[in-house]
Amino acid sequence: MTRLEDRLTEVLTRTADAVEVRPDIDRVRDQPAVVTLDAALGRSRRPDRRWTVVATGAAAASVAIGALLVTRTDRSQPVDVVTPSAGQATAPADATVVPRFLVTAPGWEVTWMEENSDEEFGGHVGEATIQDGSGRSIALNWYPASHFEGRVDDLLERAGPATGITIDGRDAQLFDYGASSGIVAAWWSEGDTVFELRGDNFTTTDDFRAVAATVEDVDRATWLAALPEEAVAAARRGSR
Amino acid sequence: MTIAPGPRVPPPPPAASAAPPDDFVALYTRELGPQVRRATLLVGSPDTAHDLVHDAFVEIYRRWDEIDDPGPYLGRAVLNRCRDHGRRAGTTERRLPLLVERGSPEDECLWDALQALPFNHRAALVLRFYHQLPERDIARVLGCRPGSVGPWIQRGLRRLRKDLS
Repeated sequence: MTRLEDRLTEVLTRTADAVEVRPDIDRVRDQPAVVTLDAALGRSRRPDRRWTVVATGAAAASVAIGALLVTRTDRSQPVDVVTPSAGQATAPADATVVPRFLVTAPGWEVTWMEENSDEEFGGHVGEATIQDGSGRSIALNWYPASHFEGRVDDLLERAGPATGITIDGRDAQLFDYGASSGIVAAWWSEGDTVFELRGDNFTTTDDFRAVAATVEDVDRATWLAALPEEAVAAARRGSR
Repeated sequence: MTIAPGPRVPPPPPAASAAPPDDFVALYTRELGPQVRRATLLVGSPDTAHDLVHDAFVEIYRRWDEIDDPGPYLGRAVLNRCRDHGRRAGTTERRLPLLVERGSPEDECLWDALQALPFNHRAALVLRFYHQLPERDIARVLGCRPGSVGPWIQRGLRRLRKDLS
């Protein structure tokens, strides 16, 4: 172990040990049953929000706004910057060829989105988080098909055999990770891009199917309007 | 399908005045400390960590009869809240002072650098170097493919070295 790793263990341990834990189970019991996402975020929805999209590299143009869809991916070489800009909307230099999907069921809202280019995966990857304020969330990721072989192995290992599902008219495969995990995932491909729709904290597969049935491929204006204020700016984060 | 068929309409949450079930109390008693400590390392603030962990317990409590294995569910619920909090919080909030009063300036720099990492990199480092988990278990906790964990740890360490140099 290097000295940095030793120091990291020491600082993490000392910090964790210094935390004064304050039990308050009444706080759990007395909590209102429903907390809306907007209330939790302390903001109101602004469906007409405008955005500026700045492509920082030649490769960025083709994926500038991209679609949404799933998994935790590495973000070593971000190429796109998506930042809110009041009263200004700049289209990407080259409209994406990747479909843009949204969950259209009432109450679901995009709370996070970012896109990157990563040589490790041989192309662009992106991720969006969509939540309904009840604890359920859907992650929409997209990534190059070349990366998918390992991914499907992981799905099969963790979730078992797939069953069929239709996502906005597209044939997709559905994996579930078991009742205790609350995770269900669907994937499909278009061209060289694989999409994954991953639901978290779903009690049953039927619950997930009901929400997945409301996923729609939307036009770019609708997509832009749905993006969250926190939509990232991976390039800025990378340079921080 | 391995997921158990559940009711179409979730059962109502326990009445506000009802005493929590004994097994919920046991889970709360057992997991509150570890979850708050882990969340503090991930979000940088013990107060925020308490809020996020209690929010997760509220969700568990409301869905107590629906969840087969609440321990892993709780861990994931806390982690998701930490991730979402980081997305909403600005860098100012992330860079909180080191909690340990005796920490050296170098330790504070390391803490600041850790808190500035992308969430997955930071979480992988916390799970590896605080919880001492192997990569496969880290992947299970983070809900990612096992192959992602190693690169996250290496990139996180590389970034820390760069920030500290």
